[in-house]
Amino acid sequence: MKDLEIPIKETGIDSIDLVTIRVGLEKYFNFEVNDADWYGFNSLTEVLYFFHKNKRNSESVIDISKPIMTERTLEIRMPQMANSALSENWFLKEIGDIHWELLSLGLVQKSSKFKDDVGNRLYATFVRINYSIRPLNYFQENEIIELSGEISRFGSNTYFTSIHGNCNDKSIHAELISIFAIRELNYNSMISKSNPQTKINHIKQLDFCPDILNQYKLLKKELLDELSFQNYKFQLSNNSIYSIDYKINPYYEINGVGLLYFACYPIILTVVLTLFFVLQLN
Amino acid sequence: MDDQLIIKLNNIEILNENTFQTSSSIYRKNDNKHIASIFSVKQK
Repeated sequence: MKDLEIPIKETGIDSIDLVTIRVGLEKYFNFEVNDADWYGFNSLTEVLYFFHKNKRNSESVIDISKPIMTERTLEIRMPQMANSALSENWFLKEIGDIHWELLSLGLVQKSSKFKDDVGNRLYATFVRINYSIRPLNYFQENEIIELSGEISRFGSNTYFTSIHGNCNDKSIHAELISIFAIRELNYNSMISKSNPQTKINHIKQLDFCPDILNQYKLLKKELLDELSFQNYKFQLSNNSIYSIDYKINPYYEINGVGLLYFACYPIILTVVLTLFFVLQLN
Repeated sequence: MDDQLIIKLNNIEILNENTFQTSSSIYRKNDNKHIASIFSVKQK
């Protein structure tokens, strides 16, 4: 037991091993530790004491897990289109909305009622979204899109939705992860993690940490050199080959709770790419 | 209402005549806080 009291930095445990230990403990004790607490631990004894102490608090939630799923059938009409193609902005809003609908079904609460234990409004904040879809101009007006989604969770703060769909011969896949966060002092610049205050949570607990979440944690801690998605590999670098200042348009790039809408990211990126390509041609 | 972002194109790679991939990052301008990374494959 004395070994557990050795300062972590003197144990020889490297950063990746520490992430693995953290993920394992979060999985075993069924809740997540926030970064401020995690980086405050000096020894493994402190880590274990923290998890044991907080385990009792998380046991008060009634956990009657059942599949929480939804299905949507939509015809591609003008709101779903942009410039003779499927609107990527609409598509991202739709899959984001499926995730929020599933959260509400699983927690048996309207999204506006999500609160933490001291009454702060909670926002389901997306931390990672992966999706693959055929080129947008392959989608035609009046085609039917069918989407089905199922939500699960890892601890009480991290929620994971998997969406599958099709539109004739075109398949669609998406994975979304959100955490619950509060605005501190009502500032958008100060957002911190928090947990829903709920007595009922029907959303099934995963018995493994999904790859998308593991990879996100490693990415956030800058422990990855490369990111893989399907057969593609992205070298991670802070280098910049082109950069612009971009003024947010609050009329369509801010969401209903006053935060930058993730659904606008591809449009912003397209603007930057267009400027970059024009510069190259000149 | 006056919030600004910095958008950085970190890398672009042409995979074939119909496909390219990009890595880019979004930062909040007033404090340079990293908001998002976007990894994208675009196909004609």
